[in-house]
Amino acid sequence: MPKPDFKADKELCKDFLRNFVAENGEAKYMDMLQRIANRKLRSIDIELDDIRNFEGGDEGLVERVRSNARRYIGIFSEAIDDVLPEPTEPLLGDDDYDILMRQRLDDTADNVDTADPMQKMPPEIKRFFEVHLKAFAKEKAHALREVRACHIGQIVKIRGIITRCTDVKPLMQVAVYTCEECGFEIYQEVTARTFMPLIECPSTRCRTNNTKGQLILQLRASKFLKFQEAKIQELAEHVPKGHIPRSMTVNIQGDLTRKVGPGDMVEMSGIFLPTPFTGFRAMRAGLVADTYLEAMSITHFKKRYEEYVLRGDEEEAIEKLIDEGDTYYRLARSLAPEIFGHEDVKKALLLLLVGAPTRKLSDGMKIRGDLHICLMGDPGVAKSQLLKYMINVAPRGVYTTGRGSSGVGLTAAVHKDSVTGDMVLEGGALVLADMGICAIDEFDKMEESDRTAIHEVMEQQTVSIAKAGITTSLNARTAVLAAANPAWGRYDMRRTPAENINLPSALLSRFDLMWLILDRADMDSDMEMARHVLHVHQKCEAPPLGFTPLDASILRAYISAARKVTPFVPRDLTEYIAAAYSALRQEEAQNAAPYSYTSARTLLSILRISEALARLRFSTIVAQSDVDEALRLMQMSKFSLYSDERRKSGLDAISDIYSIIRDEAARLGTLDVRYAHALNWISRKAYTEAQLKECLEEYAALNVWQIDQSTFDIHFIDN
Amino acid sequence: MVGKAYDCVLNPLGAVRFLFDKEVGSGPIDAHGRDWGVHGLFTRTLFEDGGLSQVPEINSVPLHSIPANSLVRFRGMVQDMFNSEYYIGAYKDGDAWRTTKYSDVAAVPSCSESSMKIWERRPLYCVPVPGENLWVKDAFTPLDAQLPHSPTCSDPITNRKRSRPEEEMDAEDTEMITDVTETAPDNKRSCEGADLNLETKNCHDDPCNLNMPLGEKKLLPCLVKVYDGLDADLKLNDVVEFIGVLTFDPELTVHPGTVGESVDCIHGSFLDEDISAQLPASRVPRLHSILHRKLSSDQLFQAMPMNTLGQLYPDALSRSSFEELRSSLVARFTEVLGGDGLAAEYLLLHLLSRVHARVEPMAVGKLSLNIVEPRPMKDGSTSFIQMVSHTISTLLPRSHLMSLSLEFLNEKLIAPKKNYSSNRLMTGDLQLADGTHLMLDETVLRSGQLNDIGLQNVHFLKNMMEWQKVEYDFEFYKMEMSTDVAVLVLSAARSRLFPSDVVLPLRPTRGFSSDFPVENLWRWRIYLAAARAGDHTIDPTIQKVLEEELVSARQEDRSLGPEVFHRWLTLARLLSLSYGESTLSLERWNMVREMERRLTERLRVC
Repeated sequence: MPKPDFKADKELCKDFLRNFVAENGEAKYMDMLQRIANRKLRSIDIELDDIRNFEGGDEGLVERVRSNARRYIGIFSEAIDDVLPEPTEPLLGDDDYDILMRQRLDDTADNVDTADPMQKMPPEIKRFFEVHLKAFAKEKAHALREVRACHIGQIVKIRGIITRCTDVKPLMQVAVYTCEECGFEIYQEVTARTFMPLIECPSTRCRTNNTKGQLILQLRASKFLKFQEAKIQELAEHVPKGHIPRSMTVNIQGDLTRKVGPGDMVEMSGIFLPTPFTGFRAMRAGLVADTYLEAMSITHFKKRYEEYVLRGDEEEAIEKLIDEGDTYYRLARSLAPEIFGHEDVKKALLLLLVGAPTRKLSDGMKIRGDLHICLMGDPGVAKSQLLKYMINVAPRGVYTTGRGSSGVGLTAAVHKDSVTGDMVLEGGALVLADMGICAIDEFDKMEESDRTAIHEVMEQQTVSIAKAGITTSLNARTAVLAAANPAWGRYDMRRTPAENINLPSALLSRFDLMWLILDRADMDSDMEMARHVLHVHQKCEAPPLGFTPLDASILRAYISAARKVTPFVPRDLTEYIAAAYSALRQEEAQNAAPYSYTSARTLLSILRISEALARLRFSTIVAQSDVDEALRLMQMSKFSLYSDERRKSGLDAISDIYSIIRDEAARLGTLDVRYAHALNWISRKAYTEAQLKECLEEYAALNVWQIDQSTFDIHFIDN
Repeated sequence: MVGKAYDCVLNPLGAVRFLFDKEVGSGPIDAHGRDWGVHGLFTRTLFEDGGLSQVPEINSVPLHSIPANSLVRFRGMVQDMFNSEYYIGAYKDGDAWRTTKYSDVAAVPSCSESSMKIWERRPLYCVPVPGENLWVKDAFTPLDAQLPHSPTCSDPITNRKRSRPEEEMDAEDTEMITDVTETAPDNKRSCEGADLNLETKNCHDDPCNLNMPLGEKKLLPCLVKVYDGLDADLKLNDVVEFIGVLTFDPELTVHPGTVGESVDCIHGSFLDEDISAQLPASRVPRLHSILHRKLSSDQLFQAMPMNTLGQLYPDALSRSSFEELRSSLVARFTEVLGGDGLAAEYLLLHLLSRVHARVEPMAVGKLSLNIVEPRPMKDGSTSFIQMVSHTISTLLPRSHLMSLSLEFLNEKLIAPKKNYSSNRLMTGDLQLADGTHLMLDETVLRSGQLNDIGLQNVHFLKNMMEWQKVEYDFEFYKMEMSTDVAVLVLSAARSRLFPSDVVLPLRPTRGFSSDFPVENLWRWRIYLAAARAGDHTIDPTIQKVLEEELVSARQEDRSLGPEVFHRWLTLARLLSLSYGESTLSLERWNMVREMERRLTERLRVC
């Protein structure tokens, strides 16, 4: 291996700094250096990408810089010392530093003892900038466990969560002493955390005179650096099954300090370095070297839809999806693919992920765009699994139970901090899920305090707190996905949903959609279930789905892309929506015992769902088909709550049988249906032959179809 | 070839160095310190040439009788995994390269970067297997472990003198233990556990908290360092036998009081998480692992020394002996359960259950059992619980009895939690190796208030029973670790807190018998291990029949959900395995349906 020629590389660095031209035609680094000279900037970020571009095809320098980063920071610093331009504006006021510098320069002018190395001013003390190297932007961030011994000395990019960090402390970079005897300033560069202070003056004068001059440390003249230490831990998704997350020490210096706190998800690049233990620790640790990451750049890594930047391949995947068509159905089906059926529920959940834009009116009032959905159903119908799946798909999702596992509960709580004794505000699940979705299982078992607060969260999307002298309002712009168990163990069809869930209807009316998930009693689904269970035990895996579900990452990308669209309702549609709404109101007025209450909230729900549907089509205009689908979903959600009861009354069984026969006939594209077939279809749905006969007569009387007197075969009357 | 240049057992480092010199001689030094033939050599010496029996096990001989830098074994559970350690693996001493692999210290001359190599190794914190039963420990302790002619003792005379007190103590211990075994070993264990709960709570801030599982006091934990990325196949809570170099360097021993004040002043304000400082070498031996092997519950028997087992190995069981052992074991269980044959069948199947597949989020194959013994809590009932737990502990390699008193539940978290100030995982009672049997005694639960901790603990237990997962708390996020722990709940009435797969009201016809014959014990143990490990399939022909049966059963009774179907199929699988059959036959299926019918009848009467 040829020895790298650092001198030559320094010239290369100078050349790069002077002559690099960014894409927009500016001399990027010279501009930066000018600002540094003018004391407007304290750190200079050198991007490896720029070096690579500057070099063209030859990767010599950039590779050397990347793999021996610490050394090249020094070389770049020296290069900058050489090429730093004169300040173009007068410096404002002289601070201590400048006065000292001037004095030193004056001193050196008439100093006789320049040959003494200890008296030579280290370049470090003159610098008032820091050099940071930025890793390739395109490089994928490593998981912590991928950083190995072979990365020592190199620039690595990692992603993780900060678990602990220290206060910011001064770290001595250059210690300056003055000698009592000869009066010289003596400099000592500090490169480690600890250093041995000088005691005797090493200057030639003191040594030749053998006076053993006492050295006094000059704190004011020394150069300090802001220094902070932090621990970064692997993200949960990077940890393989059955392993413990790893962690790493990070040293943060200068301007990068105070950027992180415990709990922050960050992406950082830095130099992976070993530090041999010194002194007592070395004895204790034996041969072990401690390693740390010297931070070069820190970016907070947010998981919000709004900040999600699509990668190239994701864009392609989305385009392909759109080309293939039927995205609405296919996306919905890919949500929790292992849960069988429930297509309309999944469609609703998809719309919850997409949401509608929040409207801010000119008078400052806000109309929420987040959809709220409540799932009800008997225990054991996979509600919880649906919820958990949704949390995984959403970029920001919090799963909690109504009871809340921590003392903070759902909204927020004021605590006394055990260390400082101050009152601190701690956000609950709804606050943590701001700009995301919050899945609340066992919604019905919510605590009383949360129940009152959740009214506000679901409409105003804030949490107000007035406790222990803290009065504030926190944002909780979250879509609520709730799951509730019926109050009497099983859902009682004869009662209203409000009675069944034991929640006030004021709260229930805030949900845009409510679904009742029951397990249906028909042959098909029983068969399906039996097959599923058998398959699981036979093959030790879930049965194939019959389709390939879309990957969660593609789903996420599609949804975040869709969320960027802000659709509006065209004028000619308002009439249509108004008509639909008044029809709903009319229908309710005619019904003696309405199950639900249609209000202005319903109208807003229709609009929200329609807008979410338009977003899914990447369209800025809401179409009539969107409104129709929104109305259909609302209708279906109502049916899931009420239709079964009507079916039991006997009357609705007839219309249900009719719709089964009609649907099947339409599917086959025929007007003639054999009686045996019809019987076959309806018995699968657990209806009896007597009911079928009743249905045939009733609809024949309505002239919907004709019945053959001998064979009972059906012929639809075409109109 | 490798001559008599070294002794693999007494001087393993010599062997390592010998091979290293050979390697260096043949080419340039490897930058990452990959294996240079050490594994091969030790595999040959230990497994093929039978050298393994000469290697002492840390926990079966007194630690101080093992010379430093000799080859030892350690059987334990991986409890925590620390960050990689970077060490100076090779350095240039003059012109020659030297290696420090598999050792702690060496006089490395301070030299420039180019003449040393930094390599990587991975420290694992291993503890004695939680809940491991005495008979397993005994089986692994060689009979001659304490005899002076043991190959590990370099100086028999002094050694004998030194180990005298230890010997006496051990003898006493064994005596005490055998004594207790007769009556109620688990009761003792759980009491001890309660004591320790208090203790661990108090010593959470203690810098050398050894984090021992389930109140283990006697045995030593071990800090194992694994090389060459061999840790890749090791997971948390695996039971592993490590074979490697025991290092014990007094220089590295740090007593908390002697840590230099000045040094700590400087470092105190930084994030000092030096693991070795928390684990003094005097209490936690260091082992540099050369080889390791995983010991899952059925491999356990293969790893046992020959002398305890004779020629009996699980795979040697014939079909006929399967049936014979099965019927004798069921008869035994019937005795224990007061003549309740149905309960005995269910208990057997429960003991055979294990998670054999995971179809997220389900754990397929688990079968938790709730034995309901409604008699009032008199002396009789207490001894019943002890008897069941005693029976299980003499048959299964690992078991634990958890007394769910209100105090226990409210006391401390039973799921592990990461402590960031010491950078270690604080263990909980639910950190158990796969294949451990957990018995929950709910009869001691009195009415009262569960606090925050209690609620969480109940949640952990429920989660474990339902999904076979335990949430480990990493403060910033929780991680679900899969477990495979069969849970048996004993309660006075059907347990509402901990819903089990099978609820079994006991119908004893006579008193519970406590005496336990020993002659068949080993055969039963092996039978259970072999049947557990068995493989099982459902033929397509029988699949059709089952499918129809399930559908028609559901048509008859709407309340039969998928969980019932899963239970039936799990029972059918276990029943077949208990007969040593690898495919499901209609006969076994009908037996399961009949068992379930009788059980449902019983529940209806309740």
